[in-house]
Amino acid sequence: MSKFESVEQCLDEIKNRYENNEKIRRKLAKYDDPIQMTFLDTNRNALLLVNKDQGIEIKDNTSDENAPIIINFTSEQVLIDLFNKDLGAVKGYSSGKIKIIEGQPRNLMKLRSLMF
Amino acid sequence: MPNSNNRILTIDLSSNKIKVGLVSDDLKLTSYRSQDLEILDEDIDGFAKYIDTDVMWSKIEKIINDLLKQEEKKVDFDIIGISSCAQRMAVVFLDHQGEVIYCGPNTDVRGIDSAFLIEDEFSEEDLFKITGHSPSILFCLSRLLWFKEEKEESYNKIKTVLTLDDWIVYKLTGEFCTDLSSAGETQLIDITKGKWSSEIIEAFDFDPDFFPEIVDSGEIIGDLETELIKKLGIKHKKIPVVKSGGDTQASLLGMGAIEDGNVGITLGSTAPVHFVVNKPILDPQCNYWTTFHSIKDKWIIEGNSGNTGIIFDWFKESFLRNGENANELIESYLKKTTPGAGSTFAFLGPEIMNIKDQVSLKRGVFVFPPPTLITEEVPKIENFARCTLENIGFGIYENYNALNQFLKLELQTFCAGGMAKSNEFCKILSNIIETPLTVPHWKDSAFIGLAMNTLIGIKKYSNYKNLIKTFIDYDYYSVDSVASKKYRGIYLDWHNLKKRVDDL
Repeated sequence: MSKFESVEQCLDEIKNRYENNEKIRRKLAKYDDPIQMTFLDTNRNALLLVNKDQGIEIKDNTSDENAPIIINFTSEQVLIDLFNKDLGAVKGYSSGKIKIIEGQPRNLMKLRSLMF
Repeated sequence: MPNSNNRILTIDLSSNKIKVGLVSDDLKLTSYRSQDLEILDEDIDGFAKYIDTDVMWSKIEKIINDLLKQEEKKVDFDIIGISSCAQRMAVVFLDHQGEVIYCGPNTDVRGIDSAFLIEDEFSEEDLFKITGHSPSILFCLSRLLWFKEEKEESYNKIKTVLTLDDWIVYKLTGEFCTDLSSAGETQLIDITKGKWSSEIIEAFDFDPDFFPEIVDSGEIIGDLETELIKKLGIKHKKIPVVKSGGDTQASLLGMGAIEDGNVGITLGSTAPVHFVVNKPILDPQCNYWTTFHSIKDKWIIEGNSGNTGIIFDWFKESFLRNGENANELIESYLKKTTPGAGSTFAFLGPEIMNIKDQVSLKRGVFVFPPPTLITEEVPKIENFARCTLENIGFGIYENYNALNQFLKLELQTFCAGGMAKSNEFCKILSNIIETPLTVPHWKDSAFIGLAMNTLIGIKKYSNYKNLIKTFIDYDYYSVDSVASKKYRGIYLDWHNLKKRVDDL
């Protein structure tokens, strides 16, 4: 599998996982809270709109300050490293590269296989 | 000196060590050896972890061999029984041939990917009412579901589900069984009835035959396998193996915390604070765990301060150059310093148990007065050592205090485990929690608890209370009212700073 080199590619992969993995859609069958990702180095935002198991929409360069789940990444490279498996999610959290600003643990758990 | 040549072989698989000890029948630890228990990552994420059971078992055999040879040099002894305990929440899945499909330690949170299946069937409150445990990602239930969901082929091969201690008993005797102090931490046991929960098993369509018969702690399961007797270099032909269970329950037994209102603080890799009660009291907030003691008809309520011994070991390895004398050095540092460690504070993890905030991994922080041109006193390594231990003390205090307010019992507080070997830390802890501490002479109290179960199992004694009264010696730490008063203010400073540090 080729390496991820940009945030755009990672966002495409999220969409790809949702659309092509039945288990992930089943996991999200009751989930419809918007998720905002913020990259602190570029101030870039991306919004993930999961509509239960009915579909997903990803809006790059879009923010929603009221999103019930907000995840900050210290840089765009952190997300790229996660998708390339160069960085583990636990290490990402504990080193402060990924920070959950808002969000219920139960919902975040459901998102793991979609995003990390 | 022990008053006889009878020895009980005790095996303790803790969170990060394989420990084997020999205990005399008057409950004196005559010798012990340990090696690291290796926990392996299954993937880069660090959520899924496993133990290589072949490697672990080889180490156990080697340690036993070496220990027996070591003891033989000192005395001609007889082994009168064997008992084991293990880290709670660790589980082993076996196939039809009894071969290991999976062995997961207490840190394996692969259940994060299958917890949604649990949440679809049970609300958090309903599951907690049945099992006394939350959250769903930590326990055997979510791991079984993970295999069902993610590794169907392996799941279909599962014949038997054991806790890690049950597996040791199986290796020693060839028998499958569990006890409530082990099985109570699987999230598959009805905490009130003391039976496998048919409600949970049926909800997830598990084969009821996965789950072994429940026996009492302190019951003989069988004799040590003949092949092992030869392999381990044991000279006797018939050695009874007695069931114990969870390592913390063994530790509580060994420190003598068995009565309603007793509190046991086990200073291991983490520091669970257990209140012993006569009935299964459940936390209405679904935070503090309720499980079974080794003693029949006794339950324990747990508040866990998180990583404590791990922090202590990390500090010694990272900050002290002289590894061999690290404990003595720490002791001298604590003697040289005073409460508050010269306005130096540590925020390294120990805190009140908050199971709902389980995904929060906080940064580690030291807050201290830095050197400046006008600073008269700057903290030294002694102060950093002290504030690290004070952080551990504050974490224990928060859980102790919360459980005390919730349960409102007449208390006697016991404390054992590796860090209890520090006389100065016991003083600090007693002053922080404003309670006298009763500390057994043998700090590795799990070995003593295992020996107690063995003596009950082989019917040498019939009563735990008498065993404790006859054989357990204690050191007592009283509260220094001046230091304790200071700690009230220091804790408030620490607590207020922590709110800000947590946001980092």
